[in-house]
Amino acid sequence: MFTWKALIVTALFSLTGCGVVVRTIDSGITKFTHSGLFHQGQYGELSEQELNWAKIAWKYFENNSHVETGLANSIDGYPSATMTSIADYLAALVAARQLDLIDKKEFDHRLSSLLHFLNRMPLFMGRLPNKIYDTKTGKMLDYKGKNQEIGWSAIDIGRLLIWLRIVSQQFPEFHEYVDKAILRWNFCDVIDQEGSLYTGTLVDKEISLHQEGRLGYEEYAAMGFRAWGFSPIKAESLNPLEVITIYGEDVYHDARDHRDDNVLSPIMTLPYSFMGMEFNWDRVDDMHSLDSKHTNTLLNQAAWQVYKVQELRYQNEKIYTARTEHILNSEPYFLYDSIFANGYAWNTISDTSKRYKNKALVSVKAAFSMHILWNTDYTYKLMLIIEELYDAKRGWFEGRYESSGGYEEAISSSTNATVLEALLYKQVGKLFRPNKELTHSEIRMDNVFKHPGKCFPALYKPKKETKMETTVTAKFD
Amino acid sequence: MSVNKLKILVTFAVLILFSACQSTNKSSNNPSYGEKIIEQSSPYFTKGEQPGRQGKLSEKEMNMAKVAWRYFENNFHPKTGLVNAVNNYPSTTLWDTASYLGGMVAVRELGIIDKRTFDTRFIPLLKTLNNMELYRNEVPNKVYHAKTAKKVDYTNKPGEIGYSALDIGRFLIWMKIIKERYGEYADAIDTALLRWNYCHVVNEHGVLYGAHGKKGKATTYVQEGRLGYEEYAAKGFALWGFNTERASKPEPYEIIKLFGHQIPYDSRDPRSLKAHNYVVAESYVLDGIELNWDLPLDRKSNNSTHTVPWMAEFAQRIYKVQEARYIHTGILTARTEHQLATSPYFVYDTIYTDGYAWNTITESGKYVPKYSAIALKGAIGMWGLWDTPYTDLLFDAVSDLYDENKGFYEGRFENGTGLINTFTANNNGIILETLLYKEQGKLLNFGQNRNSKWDNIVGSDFVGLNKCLPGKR
Repeated sequence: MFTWKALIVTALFSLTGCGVVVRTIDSGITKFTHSGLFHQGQYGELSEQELNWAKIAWKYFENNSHVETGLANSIDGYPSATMTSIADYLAALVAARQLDLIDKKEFDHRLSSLLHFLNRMPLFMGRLPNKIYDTKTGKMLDYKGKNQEIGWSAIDIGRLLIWLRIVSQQFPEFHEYVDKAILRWNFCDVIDQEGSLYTGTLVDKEISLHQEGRLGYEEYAAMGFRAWGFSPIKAESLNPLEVITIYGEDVYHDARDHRDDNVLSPIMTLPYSFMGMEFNWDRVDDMHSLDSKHTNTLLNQAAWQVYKVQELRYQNEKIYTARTEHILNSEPYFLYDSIFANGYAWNTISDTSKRYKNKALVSVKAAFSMHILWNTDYTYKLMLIIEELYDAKRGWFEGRYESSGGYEEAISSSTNATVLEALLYKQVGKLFRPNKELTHSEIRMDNVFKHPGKCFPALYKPKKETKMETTVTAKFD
Repeated sequence: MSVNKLKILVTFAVLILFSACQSTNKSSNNPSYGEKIIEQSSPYFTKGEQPGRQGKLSEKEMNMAKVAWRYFENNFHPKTGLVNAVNNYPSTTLWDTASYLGGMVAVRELGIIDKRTFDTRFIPLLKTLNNMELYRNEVPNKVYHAKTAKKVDYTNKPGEIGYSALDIGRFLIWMKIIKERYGEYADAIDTALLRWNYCHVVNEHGVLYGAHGKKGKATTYVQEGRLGYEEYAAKGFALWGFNTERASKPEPYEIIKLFGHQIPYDSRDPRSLKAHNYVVAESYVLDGIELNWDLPLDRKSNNSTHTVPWMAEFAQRIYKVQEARYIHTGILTARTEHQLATSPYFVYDTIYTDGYAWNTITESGKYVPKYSAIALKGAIGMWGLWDTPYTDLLFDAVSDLYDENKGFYEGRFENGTGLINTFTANNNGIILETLLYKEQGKLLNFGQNRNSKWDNIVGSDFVGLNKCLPGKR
């Protein structure tokens, strides 16, 4: 170990001209290995304040988890969960354990009961997780809170797939139970031959399938499917793409027109932040590259644009901007608080495209993740206006109203999990770290006699097929 | 940190010795909003990139002029001198009257009608202008009954609804063109315009205002005009000496990139202000044909020099992006506002409006893509101003779309569902204007610098007060 350090120091001395100050060998090493040459954004041990921020966020999950089911609520005090919010909870759990907010015993207990649930939960038509579950009873719910199956969301499932994979990478002792939960599912309808993702909803007792996902979340969800060996080629492609210009900065936008297909395609921070914190904007199978290099170049560029226009809005208008989807305590309860949507920059709309321009927030989860990922003068300014937006007994609020400065005191698993993810990212870097350990599910998929069927990828297929896949993914290089 | 990773670190550390100071904080550049805008007052001249069509009309083109004129023969009301804006419907606006005058000047210049015919049509119109009731003693109402010259509402029933600064602006341009070309009408034209009160329609900062008012309700004044139309209409006021400082500026605008072209659009937000910020060919085409994208009182520069360079540049982009759409999508494109034969009767068929490229909307903002069309006035107008293979193709697409008894059709639907079976004064007038432009270039053709009645009254300290004439506010 010592020799390596010495080598680095040699390298360092020639760099001092650039303003790197070396006081002692040790602090020099720390500063150097933590610098932007090796990492994106912030890297290093958490400060006392940051640890306290993490504890506040974890408080949410302490308050909102249910022993009976192992689940956590998606909104403070509201007993329902989606696959996205289960992924939030997993992210929070991993962070809480790795930041040492909880001990091994508590982690083991919480994770085990959640995995138990995932292996026992009723599935929509026996195929895939339903969109919503009751966190008290573990039963499937519809949007009105009735016990009823309604369908699945490929985007929600995608995020859950990512976090289940991260859990099994970092806590390999649990991987078997993770794999078993997923092996229960049937993937035939959620991803097609060309690699598009589909949502299924129940219409007149039949499943109605629709392509799901627009630029941002579509690519993010695709990473989850890719992580489990699927080939979501169309979903992970940024196409179809158009470019819009805000303050002179080009930003990618989904070219599919919501006026034709009724699917909104707002540009928001969170999917890009997730892809940054979890994947470092790398290819999913990238095990080697430094965190300062982003092997999915296009995504990295798209994420940078999303950050940059928000900073530019601040520079040009002096309006603090950190935007993403959020919940709120008043009508309409959920908003796409976007950078661009339905033809307009800085459009804040509901899922019915109604405009709520006075309900735009400086979002806590957007600001936190931007600060950790980009670490600029602007993100410091953002942190100044959101760092007190919490109730120490309940967790972090959604954000601060752009139009008035007031708090939006709604509290969600999404915001609190994102805060924990961001702080964990600061301490450990990229969260999704693939390895070569053989897993239970791979053994199943690799053997024609043990294969689970249900449209799982067949790793035993002739080599030709796999070659094709690699050439396609190689495009991102 | 694992030893493995450190190995990579070291290799990397050695590598970066060569790449001196590298910052991960990408510093922000100044945002660019596309082409820098040159102050209109600056003595800057620009050469047009594309010469327009020039030369004698061919036999076919002369025949087109005769067909287009048919419209005005059919829809003329000898008593009022007015012409229906839409075939067989006795209602008109100042905008459509200006298009009619453009058509009539064209046929006179092209020798299709003689001076006597012009007189018999224009003198009753001057009479109407000097007699008609104005909107609340300010300027003409938005709509008049073509047969009776009475103020009407949009249902053509007697009443009043307010006025449009854009319509008035275009009308003022044509009053100026006729006054300069045919000095024999100058005094009657001046008298008609001296009846008007300009206090509200253009304010002290040179902003144009439209008015809304119903019976029993006070007038509300609303800033009128968005990028393209606003500057075009402002030139009408400026030609008569009014200060149009703010209206004549392109600002506020933003840029959207379409097929690599930087397309300017008005950045006043249609969601809060209701007015749509449509980008269409018509405003730029009219300004090009009538005023050569020149400063209003530019008497000297030739046709290949444009003394409002930004407008020439924007017009160029508006043309280019439509050509680019054809190249990239195969859809023949000549977009502008146009009429329809059925409800909703009128659409803004745009290059961009209300957030979307190639958006086609109704007055209320409803998205109606099936009504996108090649508008004849847009296609022919671009053919006149840009002599290119693409406009040749546009010409081939539309030059025979007429009913010889009625004039030119309004357009041809982009989705292949045929022609827009409607005939309008605006469409046929602009087609005629364009044909004249081919023979003569810029239509505003200044005559001798006489001291007219208008000039005398504007210059006098004792008459023409309280109407906010130029310099008398």
